Amino acid sequence: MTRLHSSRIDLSSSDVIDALQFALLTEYLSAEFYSRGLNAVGLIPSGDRRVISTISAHESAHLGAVRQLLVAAGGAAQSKPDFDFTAHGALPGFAFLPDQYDMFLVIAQIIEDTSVRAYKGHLAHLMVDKATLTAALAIHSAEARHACAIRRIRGCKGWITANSRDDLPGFAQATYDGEDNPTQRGVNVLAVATALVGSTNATESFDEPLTLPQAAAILAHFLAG
Amino acid sequence: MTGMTTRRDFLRVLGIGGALTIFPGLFAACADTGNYREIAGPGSGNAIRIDFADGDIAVLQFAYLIEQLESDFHRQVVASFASSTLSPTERSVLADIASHDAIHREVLKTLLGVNASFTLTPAYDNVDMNDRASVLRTATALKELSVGAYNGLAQYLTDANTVLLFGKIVSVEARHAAAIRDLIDPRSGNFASLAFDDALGPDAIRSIVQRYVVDRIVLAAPSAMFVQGPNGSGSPS
Repeated sequence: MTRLHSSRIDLSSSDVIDALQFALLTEYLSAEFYSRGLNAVGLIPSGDRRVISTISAHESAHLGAVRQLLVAAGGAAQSKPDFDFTAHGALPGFAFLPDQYDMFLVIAQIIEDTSVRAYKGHLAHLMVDKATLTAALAIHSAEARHACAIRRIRGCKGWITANSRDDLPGFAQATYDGEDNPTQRGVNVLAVATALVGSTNATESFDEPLTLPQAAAILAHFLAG
Repeated sequence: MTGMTTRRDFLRVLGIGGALTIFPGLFAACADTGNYREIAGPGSGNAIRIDFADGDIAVLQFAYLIEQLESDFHRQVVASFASSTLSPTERSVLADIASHDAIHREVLKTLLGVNASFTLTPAYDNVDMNDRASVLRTATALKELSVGAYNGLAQYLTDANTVLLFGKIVSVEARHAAAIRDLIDPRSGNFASLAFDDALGPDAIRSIVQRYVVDRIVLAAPSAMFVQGPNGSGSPS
């Protein structure tokens, strides 16, 4: 019954174990979300079932892999916390009901786009161990595919334009804040893009990381209690 | 393809590619028809050398090389829209991707400065730029190359900021890969083949890139053994 609250993670630390502990939380959240979605009668339209079940299988595989990496790094895997998929009422009444597929996709997009950014934020901390870094990258880009697939089902571009949350609710803005970063390693991407192709696509070309506290604040919306 | 494989094997027997830039005449003599400058096939042109002894610069050069290839391919795809069987929706996705890849290329070029002096000559021997299926198939192959390359090359970087840059680019490449696969087979599980994306080692990347470029990509491999990703798929097949 140990519960993993974001407050139990030492947010000031940035070592491998903390990064993996947070990755574990992310995977617990997404694995449970898709699993419950697939088990909910009448929620997921048959036409989208292959996409959602593919993502669900991946998240379960990621969960197992992160747990192994954590143990290999000398950490003890926290057990799964309880989740609140209404995001503390921000998505009122969400309960995987048959007429709530749009809301299901909204949550999926928040989870996936946040996961991509959270893993990206971990990468620099994982450089000390090439196997862990490479595994995290292999998961990170798979999460980006999930994000793209969900966004396309929702009728959005597969990539993030500026810091737009599209039609997601306000609390989701933190998932997109900073995605409009115009500078990469000191190179002004807007200037480069304007010269090449016009500026619309400039910041779509790069996804941005979240720090562990930033990502934890977003996932905390979905932690029960 | 046989000739290319033979040549590659020949280079491998020699042990290093670095000598190529010093003795180009030697390799002209070994080319299939006696004069490599007249051959437009993959691997028949001048050497482009990536030397991992150069550290992070070599890794960035490898990424720059891949972005040159990708951006050139997508530029040609966009340039062929007028005569292509791609739908308007598909064109809009591919036009975005073309822009993103061009931006990646230019940012890497700017970062590399004087170390970005090489220009690839791509050769898409088996691609029909007017044919939707052919374009999407090749686009997928190049995106998978790119995702696997960034994932596999990050382990050779020593600068954390460059690792982060690779992360910033590779997730967009993965979004591209998923979108293109979704165009081919909409709403399927094919937007991702596996739970873990591939992480390709330098030799595997080189051999895939070589299929699409006239230049000979010569790799002075890193001394550190490649650490495989979860799929164990990073070595040349």
